[in-house]
Amino acid sequence: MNEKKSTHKLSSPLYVTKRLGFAKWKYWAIRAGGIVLAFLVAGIVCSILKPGSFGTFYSELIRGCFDFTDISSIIDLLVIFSILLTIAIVITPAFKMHFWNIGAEGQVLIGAMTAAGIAKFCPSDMPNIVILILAMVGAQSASVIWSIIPAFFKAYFNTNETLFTLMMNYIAMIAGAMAISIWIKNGSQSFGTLNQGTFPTIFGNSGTLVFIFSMAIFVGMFFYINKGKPGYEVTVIGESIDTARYIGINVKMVTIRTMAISGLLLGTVGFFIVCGVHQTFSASIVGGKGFTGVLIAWLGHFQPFEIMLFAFLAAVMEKGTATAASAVSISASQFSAICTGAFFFIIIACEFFSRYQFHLRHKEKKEAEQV
Amino acid sequence: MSYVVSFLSMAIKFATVFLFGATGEIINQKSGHLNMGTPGIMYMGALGGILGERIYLDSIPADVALNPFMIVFLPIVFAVIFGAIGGAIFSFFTVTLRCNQNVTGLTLTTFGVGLACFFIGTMDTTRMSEAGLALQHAFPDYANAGWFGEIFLSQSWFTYLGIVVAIATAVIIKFTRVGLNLRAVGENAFAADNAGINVARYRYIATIIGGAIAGIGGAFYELDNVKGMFNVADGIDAFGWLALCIVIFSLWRPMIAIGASFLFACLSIAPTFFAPYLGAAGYVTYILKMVPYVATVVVLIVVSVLSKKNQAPASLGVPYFREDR
Repeated sequence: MNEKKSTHKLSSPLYVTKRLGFAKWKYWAIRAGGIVLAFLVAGIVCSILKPGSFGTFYSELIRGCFDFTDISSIIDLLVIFSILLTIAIVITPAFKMHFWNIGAEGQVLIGAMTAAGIAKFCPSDMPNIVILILAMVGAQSASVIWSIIPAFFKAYFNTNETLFTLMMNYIAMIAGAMAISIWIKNGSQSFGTLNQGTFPTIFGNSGTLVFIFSMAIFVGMFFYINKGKPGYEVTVIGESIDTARYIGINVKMVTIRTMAISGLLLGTVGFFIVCGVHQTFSASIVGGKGFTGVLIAWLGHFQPFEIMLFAFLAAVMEKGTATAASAVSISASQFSAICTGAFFFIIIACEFFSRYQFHLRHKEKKEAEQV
Repeated sequence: MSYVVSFLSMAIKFATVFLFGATGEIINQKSGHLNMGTPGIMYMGALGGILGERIYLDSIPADVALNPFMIVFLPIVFAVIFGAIGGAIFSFFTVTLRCNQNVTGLTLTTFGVGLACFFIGTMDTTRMSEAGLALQHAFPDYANAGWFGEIFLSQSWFTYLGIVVAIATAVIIKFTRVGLNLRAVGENAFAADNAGINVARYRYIATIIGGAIAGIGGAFYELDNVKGMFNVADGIDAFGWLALCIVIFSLWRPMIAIGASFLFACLSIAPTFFAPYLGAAGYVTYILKMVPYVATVVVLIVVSVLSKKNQAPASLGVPYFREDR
């Protein structure tokens, strides 16, 4: 055997160690710096694409998000925020038990599709509130079933849930498109606006109630995660499945239950999106918020208030950059996607710098020699 | 007969897009990187391919005929560079910055799709469709060989390159020391490190090469199928997810991925081919579209229920930090 020698360079110039006893304020200072940097990068990219638009970018970004003379626009921001927040907080328990559910997009969409179908085909002499309740229950049931399928196979056969839930997203999207083609006979592939089963308008915006209900869900999830037995069981399973088993937790049952609860609430989000926010349906109506929710949950360390902060920042990023981009007449949705991507990359990088630090090897050597 | 021939010819062409994506992703996953940034990387490769084509078209006078070598070569070079950048971003975040792979992948997809769509939308399309037609056939005399020629010799250089790359990947992974080391890294990074394999370097290189290969797939779709009529909704990201499906479906084997790509391509183009005959039953096309994903789920389940072999690399999605031991 001609064993090759190890190719490790033991004297690489940089090496990384974990930070120990890192002060909390420093950690948040790094993160705050990252957030500022992300918004700065967005502005710089914008002014590269459209020279001289640096100032306009920020004034438009602020106007798009915080124009207090226009309550409805504020509520639009709050709606984006509350949908991102709800998705992120609802999928958190599954992540805490290391169940990588990246299928939130599809789970919301299936709920949205069911809600849209029920709201459209209920007899028109039914009271609106009854239609809404039917749509909500339908959306929740559909989404629970959709969420339980991967959970069942994970629990009993240890099927890879990341890939499974990922595939379920696309099955859901095609199912959504198929539903429209069956419901809408004229071949236009457009669902049209709902005439019934919509949320009442408050402050000139039907999303107001979505915001209020989402806050209620947030409070409920806060207690679910932090207080009480289910949240505790999830945390134990996340730390060690064997420990969980030894202390008598039924891991299979908890896996399925956790996913069922998250499905129930994600279905509710789908119902909000169709009946409250857009009052229509399309296969792309969730618009990637299911994926963004995953990122927010992870960056928020599965802590409810951190998730809230990042959901808000992501909402400002999404709506603000889209407003600013259309103000300087560059393609809004893609520019917004670039900025959101850059935002998350920078926050991820900050995460690293707050947990680890770089050392220069030669510097240490000198220090050692001096000693 | 001619109908079947054109269907098969079209399917092989379409399979090329999947094959590049799947081969790239297999190399990624063999190193233990579940790269969900592949859709973004394929889109970035598409941007690179278009940019390469643009640079070539701008470099020649408007009345000069296109050089059949350059219109293929330059886009591939740029697609490789752009795809490699995508792979490098992914491995920088997951290996050096120790971030979660799923989070990085999803971010990279958001970012890559946004970036590529943005710039593809602003690209000048002069002579692009001419170039698209010119690179369509590697052998211009393919029609002399009858139906065989129509199906197998009518393809572009991209297709043949894709098959060569897939076979080469299979051989390297299975029969060489580098491939053995790569599999070791993907199966058990701690053991690989103990055996003297530089885990970080293998993961970096595998992800960059995988990204470069996936990038070519995106470029091919934009240049050949779309032929310069660029639209922001070309949906290369959907092909990226299908490439991920193919990786699972073919049980992480590039040779099977060749067949699986063809099968998935048949399913993808079948709706357009059959649509005129379906009439009121138009929803059947959606069922056809759903089949690849459902089949992948079924394979995933069957593999997990039945066998301990044929599984995903054991360390797939698991980060490796020496200090965590």
